[in-house]
Amino acid sequence: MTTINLQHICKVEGHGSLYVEIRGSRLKRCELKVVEGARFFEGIVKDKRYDDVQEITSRICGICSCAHTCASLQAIENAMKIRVSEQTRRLRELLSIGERIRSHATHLYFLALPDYLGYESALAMVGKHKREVLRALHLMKIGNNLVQRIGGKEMHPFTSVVGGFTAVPSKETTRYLRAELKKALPEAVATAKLFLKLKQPSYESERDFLSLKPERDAPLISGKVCSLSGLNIKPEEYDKYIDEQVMPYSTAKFSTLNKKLFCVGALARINTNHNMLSRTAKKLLRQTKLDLPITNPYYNNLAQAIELVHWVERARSLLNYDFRFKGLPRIRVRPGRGVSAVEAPRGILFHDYTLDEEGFVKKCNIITPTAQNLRVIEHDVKHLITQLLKEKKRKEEIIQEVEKLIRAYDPCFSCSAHFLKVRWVKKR
Amino acid sequence: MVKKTEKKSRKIRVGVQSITGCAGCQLSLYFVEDALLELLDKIDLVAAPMIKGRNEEEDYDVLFVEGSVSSKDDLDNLLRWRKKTKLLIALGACASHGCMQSMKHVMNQEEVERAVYNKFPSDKRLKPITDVPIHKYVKVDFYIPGCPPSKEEIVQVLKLLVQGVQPRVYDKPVCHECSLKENYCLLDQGIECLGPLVNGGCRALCPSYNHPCTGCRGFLDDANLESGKQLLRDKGFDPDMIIKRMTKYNTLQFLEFETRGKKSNEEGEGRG
Repeated sequence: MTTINLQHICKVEGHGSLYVEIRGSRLKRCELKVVEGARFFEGIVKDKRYDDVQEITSRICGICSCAHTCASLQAIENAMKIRVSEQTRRLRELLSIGERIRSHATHLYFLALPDYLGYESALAMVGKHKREVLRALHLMKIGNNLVQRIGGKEMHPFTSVVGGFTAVPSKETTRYLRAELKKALPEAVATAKLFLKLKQPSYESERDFLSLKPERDAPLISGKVCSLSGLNIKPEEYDKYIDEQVMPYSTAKFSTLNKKLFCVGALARINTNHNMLSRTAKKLLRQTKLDLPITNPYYNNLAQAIELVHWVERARSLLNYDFRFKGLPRIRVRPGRGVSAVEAPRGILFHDYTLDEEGFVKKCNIITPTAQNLRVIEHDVKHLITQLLKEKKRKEEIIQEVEKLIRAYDPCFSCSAHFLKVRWVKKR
Repeated sequence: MVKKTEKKSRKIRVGVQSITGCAGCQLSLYFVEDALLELLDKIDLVAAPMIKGRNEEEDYDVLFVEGSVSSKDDLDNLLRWRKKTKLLIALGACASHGCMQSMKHVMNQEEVERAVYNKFPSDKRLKPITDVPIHKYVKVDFYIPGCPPSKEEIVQVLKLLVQGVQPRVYDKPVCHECSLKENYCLLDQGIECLGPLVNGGCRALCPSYNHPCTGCRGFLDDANLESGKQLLRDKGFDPDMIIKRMTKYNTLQFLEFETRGKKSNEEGEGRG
């Protein structure tokens, strides 16, 4: 028996590891483990007052703090039956878009692209691919600019509070952001074209795709939860359909949808909502000449690149508005349960709170996108390894392909409970 | 193939490692955008597993660590890293003060855990340690607090380190910069702000957006928490809520202040 330890699969957000056991040419065991230390957020927010919750839950994740912010605030507002203004909804959507632009740009260029071009990191690409690296930094900057100017800082935005905002962007700011977004559009299109050209490994497998479906426009911070196979439910019914299970080897829970495999994220959003994309994004999607739905998980990268174009255009139109500060929001505290589902960069995120008469949290449940994807990732890794073993590929090649597949899902292990370490056990 | 660079680099060897946290602090470092490439020209980034495939774990000149110690695995990594680096910098609120997850020190641990897992995963490596900032286990040479730390500050510190200059600690309250910005005091408007007690250096960011300071940069070493509590109570805020707010990012610091306060009280009484 040979034991091989590959310590890190890098370039993902957080700490995770993969345990693989092979006997002869057969895969015996494959476990995707999230070894991120447990921080117990759902326990920490207990007995905290409604106005402290967003600040706490936002800290679940640096990359998608705006998604956690929106989900958290909306769930609390739903519980207390607060309706927010059009302006507030717009600003929250802009926060989420800013975050999505920088998250996609970071993932596409810094985490995924080096795999395709054969570099160890984006930083190593500077010599030959400086244009691409500068483009990534430009897109990250516009995303950061959006979040910072609306949310107060680049991460863990604080201006968005229960009921509204503590400050709104000035006319100069909106004008500046619109001008910046205009400059970013050709960069986003170039990104999509770059990923269109990349050759994706062939891999097909069956699964369902889950995303939000709003009445108009592409999904972001509202809508019903819909699957490609026809499921159509309100966000508050999620617990009847999504099962979370604790695995002995992982601090993140694993989910199934009606006992079946499903996945969330950019690919799911494109598959279920492609007709709601912006014109340029639609055109780019047609250029892929792919049949919808796209079932090859590697195309999640391309889906993100196409989304990038859509969100840059959408942000520009949302900024075309006369934002006015009307004082800090006044809140009437009411007890009740509230659920909110939003589309984080990596898929649907659920926040569910039960509040008492004085607005203190009595119960909390949060389901993150990566927790929903873990099972399908594990399943795909198993499949891929079996397939590659049949092709008699060497260990190094297999590990490389597996890493590439996992990265295509853009997992966020901080969210799901962090770093990928592969433990490879070979038994003869 | 790996190309070997023969030229011996005299750049400082910098690593960025993380333990349990949200990864936001190291993202702040990569989000310096325009300055990033210039900065990377001046330093040798030898480890940054979040964005690099090839990472070294030897002879760091400067190592940034984000996150708090929350599991056995975290602790093992931290102790190993400390031996490999000349300078260890705590990056962000988790590493400096413990941040949100350290609130468990003032809550019922078992109850908190039960709210998340009906049965905790059995893998021994995952066994939780009640979250603590990294200085509880290793010597920390410099702190860059904040949740997340400001990218300007990170760049500033790196610039100084490249020149071989020890960075300076900012030790004035948030109120200092807030009044320089001529903000209308939030406490005077009846909003529960912790500005007088908290380390500044953030250009009074939150209060400038009408949002109270909640203490993400930690309490000042000489903060008078007792008179801070009294001030807030006099303004009519609920005592329980004051404590919940004060323990949000800095539970352990808060507890230290409490025991220090008790001791000096006892000594005072003894003398009287």
